[in-house]
Amino acid sequence: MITLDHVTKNYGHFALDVTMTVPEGTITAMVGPNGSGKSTTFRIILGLVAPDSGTATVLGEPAGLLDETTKRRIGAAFSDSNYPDNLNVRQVATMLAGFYPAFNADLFFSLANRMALPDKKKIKDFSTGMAAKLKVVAAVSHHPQLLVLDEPTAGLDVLARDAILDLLREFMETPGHSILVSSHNSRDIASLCDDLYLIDDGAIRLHETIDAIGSDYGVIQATRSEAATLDDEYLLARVPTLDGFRILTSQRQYYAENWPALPIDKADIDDVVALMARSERHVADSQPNS
Amino acid sequence: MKGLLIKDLLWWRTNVAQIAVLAALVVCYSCSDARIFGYLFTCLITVAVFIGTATADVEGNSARQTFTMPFTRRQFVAEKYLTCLAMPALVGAVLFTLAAVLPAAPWLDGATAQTGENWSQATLFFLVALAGIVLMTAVGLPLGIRFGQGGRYIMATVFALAFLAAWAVIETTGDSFAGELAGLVRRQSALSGVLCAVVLLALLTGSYALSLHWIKRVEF
Repeated sequence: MITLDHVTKNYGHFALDVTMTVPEGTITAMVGPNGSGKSTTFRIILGLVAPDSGTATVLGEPAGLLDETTKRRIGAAFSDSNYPDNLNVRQVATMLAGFYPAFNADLFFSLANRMALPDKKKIKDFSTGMAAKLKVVAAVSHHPQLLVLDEPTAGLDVLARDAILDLLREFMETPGHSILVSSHNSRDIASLCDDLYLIDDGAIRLHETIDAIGSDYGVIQATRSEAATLDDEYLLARVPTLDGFRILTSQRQYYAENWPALPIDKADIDDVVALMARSERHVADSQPNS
Repeated sequence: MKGLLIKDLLWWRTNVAQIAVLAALVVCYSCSDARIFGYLFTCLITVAVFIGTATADVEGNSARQTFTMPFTRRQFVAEKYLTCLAMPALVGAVLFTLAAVLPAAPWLDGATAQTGENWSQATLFFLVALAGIVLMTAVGLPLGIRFGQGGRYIMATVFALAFLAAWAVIETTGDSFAGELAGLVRRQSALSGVLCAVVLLALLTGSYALSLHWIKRVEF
């Protein structure tokens, strides 16, 4: 669905160099600290920004040359941009019907009602949650094949977030669909996504399946002397603490068996992001266990 | 392209204030002895409003979301030129038809109070309006695409300076220059018209190419 091969973009103070794929039938998350390059990557995928070098392909077409037909197969939403704010929900539907021949007005209004979006209120008067829900409803209502969603649940309460996640799960019930989503919410990612790419400082630091992170990853608490004895092979990140290190490993069981005295906890997505971003060293081209 | 046209028409529907101002302009000038000038002015204001939709699309908060929708940047530029030329031209056609068929306001002095402008005069003024529409579009749209809202101020400054320069020339040369020019146009009216059309077409073509060049470089 999406293939980025050494796609680079240089802004002087920031350099992006990304290689990643989003296969058909998967929900892929992109996570990372603020300013790490997530939005820039999304903008390149959607043809909003031209890369300096590399190859970006979306649905088989070069990302910078997406034609009408290909764009109709994509639904997109950005957390910091919305439809023209002088329009209301009905007018957004009228506009979308003009752009997308496959736009399903019944589905759109049915989802809008489900999300409690008022028909006649202008977007500029919407709350953050309403605006976010409208964007996702609009993105799915023209039956796209691919969704590219930049922080679709940012700033939302639990109920609104769950409503959007349910909508995305329904979208994935149709074979051949894919989603690329960025999020800071590890619970959302864990419940929705198949795999994740961790991006930091413009580069992909890790690509792993969500299942593997839950079952195999761990965080080792070690003193400096203990850390020196560890086998480096499955260590991904190391962050100094007051009395030693917090160390991220992709093989918790291996270290638990061979260094039984060391406290090793299961890692979650937040641990992975925090430790990889703050680490003294990075492991390049980390691949999924499966 | 259909989606872009619908989006712009929706924008118009939701900007009632701008439509009200235009309608008020038309009514006011229709009741005055400067209605031809008023209709010309209304056409140019309509161009400015449509250029405003381009700047809003390129620079506003909705720009990133808008450009994910299924149109190419080339189609975007083409639609903007179409609306900036066709819609004001339509407005002008309606207004100058009214000028031809409707009598002037009864409280105005003189023979013109009894009759409307004749068709040949109305047609001539409509052609002048078209030239103004083309000129304003050719200058204003690339500036709007390149500089966003700031482009409209640059355009206003450019036109203000052009009018100032023309006024300065006329003031300096007196009636002789203007008289000579008017005489030349009258004697060679067909040639003047063709030359004017060629120049405007060339200007429009260059403007379109520049707009395309700039829109391709915009990062949303």
